[in-house]
Amino acid sequence: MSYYKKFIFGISSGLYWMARFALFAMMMLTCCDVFLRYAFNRPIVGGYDLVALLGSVVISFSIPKTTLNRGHVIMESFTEKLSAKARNRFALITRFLGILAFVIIGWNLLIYGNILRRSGEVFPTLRLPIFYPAYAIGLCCFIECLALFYGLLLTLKEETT
Amino acid sequence: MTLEIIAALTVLLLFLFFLMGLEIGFAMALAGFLGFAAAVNLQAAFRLVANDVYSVFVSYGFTVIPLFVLMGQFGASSKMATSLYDSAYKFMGHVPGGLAVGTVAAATAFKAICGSSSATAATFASVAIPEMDRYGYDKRLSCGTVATVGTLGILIPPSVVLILYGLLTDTSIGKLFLAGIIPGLIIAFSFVVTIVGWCKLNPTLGPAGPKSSWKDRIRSLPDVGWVLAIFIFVIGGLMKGVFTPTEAGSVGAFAVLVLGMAKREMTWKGLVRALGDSLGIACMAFTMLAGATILGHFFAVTRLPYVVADFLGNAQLNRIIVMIIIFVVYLIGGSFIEDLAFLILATPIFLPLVLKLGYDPVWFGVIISVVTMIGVILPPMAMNVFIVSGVTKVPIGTIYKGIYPYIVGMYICLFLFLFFPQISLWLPNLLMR
Repeated sequence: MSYYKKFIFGISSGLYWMARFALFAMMMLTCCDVFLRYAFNRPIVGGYDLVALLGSVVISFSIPKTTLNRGHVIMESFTEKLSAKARNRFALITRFLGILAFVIIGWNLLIYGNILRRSGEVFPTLRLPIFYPAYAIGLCCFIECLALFYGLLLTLKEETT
Repeated sequence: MTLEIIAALTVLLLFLFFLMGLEIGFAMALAGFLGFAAAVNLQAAFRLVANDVYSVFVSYGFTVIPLFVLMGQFGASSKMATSLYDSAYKFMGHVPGGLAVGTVAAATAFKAICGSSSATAATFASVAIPEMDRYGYDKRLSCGTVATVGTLGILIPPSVVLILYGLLTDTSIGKLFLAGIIPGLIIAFSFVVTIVGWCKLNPTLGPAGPKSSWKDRIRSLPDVGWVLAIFIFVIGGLMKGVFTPTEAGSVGAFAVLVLGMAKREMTWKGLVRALGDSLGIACMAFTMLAGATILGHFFAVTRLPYVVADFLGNAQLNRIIVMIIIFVVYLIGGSFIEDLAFLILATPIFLPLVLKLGYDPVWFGVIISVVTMIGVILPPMAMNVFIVSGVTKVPIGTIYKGIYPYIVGMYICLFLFLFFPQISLWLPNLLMR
C-alpha cells in the first residue's frame, strides 16, 4: 500500500508540475502574442492552437492530483449523516463508479485518437496533428483511475481496521 | 421505453450518484453517458463521451477559465488585499462599523482582479478579521461581513461564474462582465447600508477606531490606483475588442504578477502556490463542464429543456412568478450540491424557458449570479461560511447570525434587478452595441 501510495502521489505530482509549467507558458505565450500583434503587427503563428493545446495539458494533467487532494465538488450533506460503516460502503461504490467513468472516457479517447490519426487532421494554423491531445487526455484518464483506485484501497483498509 | 421515462430515470440516477457522494462532474458524465446509451445506443454514447471531453479540454475558448482564476490567485498571493484593506481602513476606520465598511470597500476593489468568491473570503478572513478583533468588533459583524463580501466576486468582473455562464450559454463574456458592474456596486452599497444601520441600532457591534491623517490616507491611494488601472485595462480591452477573453485573462494575470513582483510581495513560493491553486479550481470547473456537456447532449436528445419550457410556458403563469420559481429551484438545488455545480447543471435546462419568456440571456446571467451569491452564504451548504469558520475557528452558528442582515439586503437587490432589467443591461447596451 505504501509503495502504491508513493507511486500514485509521485506520478500525479509530476503531472501537476507539468500542468503548472503549461499554465505559466499559456499566460506568457498569450501575452507575447498580444504584444507582438499590437507592437509589430506580427502575431505568433499558431498561437491560438498552441494555447488550446496547452489548455488541454493544464486540465488533463491536473485531474489525478485534484482527485487525491479531494478538490472536486462532492455533495456531502447526505453521507456525513451516516455511520462510518455506511459512509465507507458508499465510498467504495463511488470510487468504483469513478473508475468505471474514467475507463469509459479514457478508452474511448484512445479510440477517438486513432480515428483522428487515421483521418490525418491537423490544427488549422500550427499544422500539428490533432490526435496528440486525445491520446494525452486518454492516458491521464487511466492515471486518474489509478488515483481513484488508491481511494478505493484506502476505504477498504478503513473497512478492515 | 419512451424518451420521457429515460430522462426521468436518468435524472433520478444522477441524484442518486450525488447522494452517494460521487464527484458532481463524474456523476453528470456517467449519468449522461448511461442515459444517452439508453436513448440512442451504446456505440453512439461511447463516441459522445470521447467527443465531448475532447472538445471541452482542447478548446481555445475554455482556456479563459484557468487564466482568470490565475489572475485572482496572483492577487491573493501577492498580498494585494492587505494594501487595499489598509487604504480603506485609513479612510473609514474612525467611524462606528468603519472597519467593516472598509472591508466591503477593499473587497469590492479586490474583486476587480480576483474572480473567486472563496479566495476573497479566505484572504479577507486573515487580513480584516484580526484587525476588527483588535478594535473589539463583535464576531457576528466581523465574520459575517467577510463571508458576505466574498460573494461580490460572483458578480463583479472578472467573475468565474459569469465566465462559466457565458461559455455554457454562448453569451458574450464581455457583455456579461459589463452587466455585472452596476448590480455588483449596488449590492456592495447594500452591505454598507446594512453595516451602518446595524451599528446604529447596536453601537457595541463595531466601535470606532483611531482617525488617520489625510497625509496617510493619500499615501495609501497608489495601490488602489494600480488595481483599478489593471481592471480598466483588462475589462476595457475586452469590451473594445482589443483582447479575446483568454487574452484578457492572460494580460490581467501577467499585470498582477508584475505588480506583485515590483512591490516585492510575490515570492517564488507564492507563485508556485498560486499556479497550483489555480489548477485545482480550473480542473474542478472543467470536469463539471465536461460532465455538463455530456449530460446536456443527453438532455438535447430527450428534449427535456424544451419540455420544461413548454410546461411552465403554457402554465399561464406571470413571467415574474416563473422567474421566482426558477430562483427557488436554484436556491434549493444549491443548498444540496455546491451552488456553482448546480448552476452548471440547471442553466441549460432553464435557459430555453427564460428566452421563451422574452428575457435577455445577459440579464439572466446577472440575476442567476445574484441568486448564486445568496446561495453561497445560505445554510446548509454555505461555502463562504465554512471557509471563514475554518480560517478564524469561529463557530459556524455565530457566522450565520452575522449573515442574515446582509441576506435581506441581497434579496431586496435581487428583486430590484428582476423588476428593472435596465440596471444590468444599461452599461453593456451603452458600450457594446
